[in-house]
Amino acid sequence: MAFDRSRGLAGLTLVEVIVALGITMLTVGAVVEGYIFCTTASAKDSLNMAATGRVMQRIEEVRSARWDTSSFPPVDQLVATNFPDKNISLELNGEGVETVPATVKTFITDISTTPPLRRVRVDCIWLFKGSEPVTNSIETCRAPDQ
Amino acid sequence: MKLPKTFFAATCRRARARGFTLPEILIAMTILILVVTGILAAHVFGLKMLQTNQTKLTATEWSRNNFGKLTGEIHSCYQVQVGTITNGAFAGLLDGEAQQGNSLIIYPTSDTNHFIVYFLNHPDQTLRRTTELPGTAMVLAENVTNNIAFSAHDLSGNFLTNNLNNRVIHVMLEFFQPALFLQSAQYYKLETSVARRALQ
Repeated sequence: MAFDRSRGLAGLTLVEVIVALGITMLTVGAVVEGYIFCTTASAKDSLNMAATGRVMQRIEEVRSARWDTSSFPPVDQLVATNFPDKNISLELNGEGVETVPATVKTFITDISTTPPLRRVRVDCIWLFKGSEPVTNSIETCRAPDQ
Repeated sequence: MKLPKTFFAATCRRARARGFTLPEILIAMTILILVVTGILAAHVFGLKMLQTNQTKLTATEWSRNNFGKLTGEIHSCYQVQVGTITNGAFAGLLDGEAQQGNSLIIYPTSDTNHFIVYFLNHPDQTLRRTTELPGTAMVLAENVTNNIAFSAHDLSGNFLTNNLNNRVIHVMLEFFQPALFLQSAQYYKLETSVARRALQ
């Protein structure tokens, strides 16, 4: 009976407190980690969309290049020298703050000369959080102007 | 000496009935307040994140629908021209003028009586689309704050000052929504570039 009474008044032992604190910290840590993961994923998704948009813009610029093999003299603006590397900024929220530097690279290669067909690939290369390299690419084929 | 069981039972009841001391109550309340504050802060943060992402998703969905339509119309058109809308009348920019304005006219065919016009209506900050048919004007977007939405570029991204045929049409829309309850002000920007497919 004396044992029961002392147990009722003794409170928690050090081991119990440490175990309880450990479980609490693990739970809180998991919740905070979840929030951080969601925020990071949202930011990365925004930057991915911005990068894809810039790649699409370059693809459209490449589309506007004249490549007329039937005229005399033939016109051929669809060459890599017309599309040098371009340094841009990806905006996280469109406010002009929290920008991430990126480079847009354009590669134009011949697939065949008869019939004339070229492959165009545009890469947007950027670093997520300054260390994780990410490349967004779009590749398309282009024939001469009809 | 052996005490009766009723003695211990009465002692335990007294210990249980003693209640909490003031420091115990204060510490418990402080911990409770900290926990509740943390949970509330997490909920408010979650609501703000939800609102931000919802705005972005709405803008993305809008841009996919409307920019997709605009892109398709420019891709397949016969002619496209940047201009300005004044008193409801479209005026195309001439050679020598910087090719940027608040409106864009698209001719799907060589028939110039058949056209589509996208324009910014500054009084109510909307982007609208209309055709040559009366009553076809529709609001595509609200809270558009920029005055110049359409411009023409060459293949290197330089502004054009003439009606070069193989031009790239650049569209940029800036949106602003004022702050509301539990929601900070939203500012975002949509951009796209489109080139006509049938180059001449």
